[in-house]
Amino acid sequence: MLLRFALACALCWFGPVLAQTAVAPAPAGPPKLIEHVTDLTGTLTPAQTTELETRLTDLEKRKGSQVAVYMVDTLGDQSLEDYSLAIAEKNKLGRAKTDDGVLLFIAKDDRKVRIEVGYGLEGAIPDAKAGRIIREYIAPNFRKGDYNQGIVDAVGAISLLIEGEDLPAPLHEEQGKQAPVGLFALFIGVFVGLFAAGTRLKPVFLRRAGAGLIAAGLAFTLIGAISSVAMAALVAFFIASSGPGRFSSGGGGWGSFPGGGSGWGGGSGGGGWSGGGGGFGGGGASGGW
Amino acid sequence: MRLRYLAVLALFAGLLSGCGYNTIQKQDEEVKGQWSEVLNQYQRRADLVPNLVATVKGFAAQEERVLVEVTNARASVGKVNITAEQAADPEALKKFQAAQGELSGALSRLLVVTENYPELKSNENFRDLQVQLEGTENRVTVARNRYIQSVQAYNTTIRQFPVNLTAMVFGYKPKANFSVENEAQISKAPTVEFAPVEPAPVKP
Repeated sequence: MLLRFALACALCWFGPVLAQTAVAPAPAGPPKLIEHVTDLTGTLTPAQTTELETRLTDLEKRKGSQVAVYMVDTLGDQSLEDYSLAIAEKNKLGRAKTDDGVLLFIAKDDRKVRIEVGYGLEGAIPDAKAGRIIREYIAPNFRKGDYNQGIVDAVGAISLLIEGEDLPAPLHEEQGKQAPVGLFALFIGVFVGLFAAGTRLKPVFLRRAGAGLIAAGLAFTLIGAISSVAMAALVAFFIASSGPGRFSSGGGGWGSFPGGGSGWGGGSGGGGWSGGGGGFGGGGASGGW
Repeated sequence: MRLRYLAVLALFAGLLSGCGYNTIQKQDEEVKGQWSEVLNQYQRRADLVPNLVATVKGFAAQEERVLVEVTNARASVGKVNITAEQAADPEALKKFQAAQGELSGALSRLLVVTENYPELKSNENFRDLQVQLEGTENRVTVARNRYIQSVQAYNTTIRQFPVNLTAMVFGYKPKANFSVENEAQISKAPTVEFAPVEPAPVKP
């Protein structure tokens, strides 16, 4: 039994190479939003779009929540809910963990509208309230053909509800762009470790611990994040423990490392805007006019 | 000696992760998590029912048949609550699905009936309830879809070549999924029966 298992496991190491055929490339899928307001119908004037964009950027800066507006001509053969959720999920509106994203989705020619609410805002914007926003702010204005007013009113109402919610403070941009720190720490660790292993300093423990300390010190002065310091020290310690020769043969093992993957908030200046990692569970309301 | 023991242990651990043991654990947990979300959303729907029934009763008490049907379906749904482990069993899942499907059917018949009562339809409270019900149905759909996907991923993992051996040794079996035939039966539009229903009362 154990022998068979060991044999099976040995096979496992080679199995994936054999079994894993090329994975089909992901289909085109829903579009990636680059601004808060996406109007594919050309209904809103550039001035109106800018005005809305300013409001939503402002809201995001103040509260951290991401509210996006997406307007298309027609749904095609998709259902309103599927389409809207697909866009919300793809762009991950809202912050990771807080899940405070909202998508106002409008299919103009189908006369359908949906407010898609992220998990974290389902308390602030319950379905009934989202439904009322559609019935009382959006539908009357849209019926008159005043799309801009409808959207502005709805966004205003949504903003008010979000303002009333106690959400974590928004991330500042310097804090937000920390993603590569873990990688940097890893590099420091590897280099210091390799260097220390090369010195052949005699008491082995001194060599390892020394490398760890140096890497930690370097990481601290260069990065200042505690978890990264620990990572650099640990990596340096392990690499210093093995000779440089052995490391190069086993180097493939360092492919993945924990941590580091923090979401980044949107910054409308410069490199464009994107969702921050929020999750959606189908909350919100649909309606028409 | 001790060192060798440790080395063997480390090797074994390494082999296990190579076998997809960790992947199985991860996906198994994922499936369980998604199942609780499914239950959560079905529960949310069931919680809405008494309120909805009470509101409709206020305006359309004569629609007793539909109201009783919804109440009964709601009661039987409460009895068929199954855990993630039980959901892996096709029979149990089928039962659960049938009960929930019955409630779905009863609820949509109720909503069809309410079309006949303009006063009810323009009632703010009823409108809010209707939106909540729609929202909850949508959440159920999303949760079900995610559950289906997680089960698919799990089943694919434990059926594929290298991992199927690990799964066999540790006794992990493919899980039952929401079935498509049943899906069609449940999600089919309710047939509107005009015959037994008296003409809609015209209220002043």
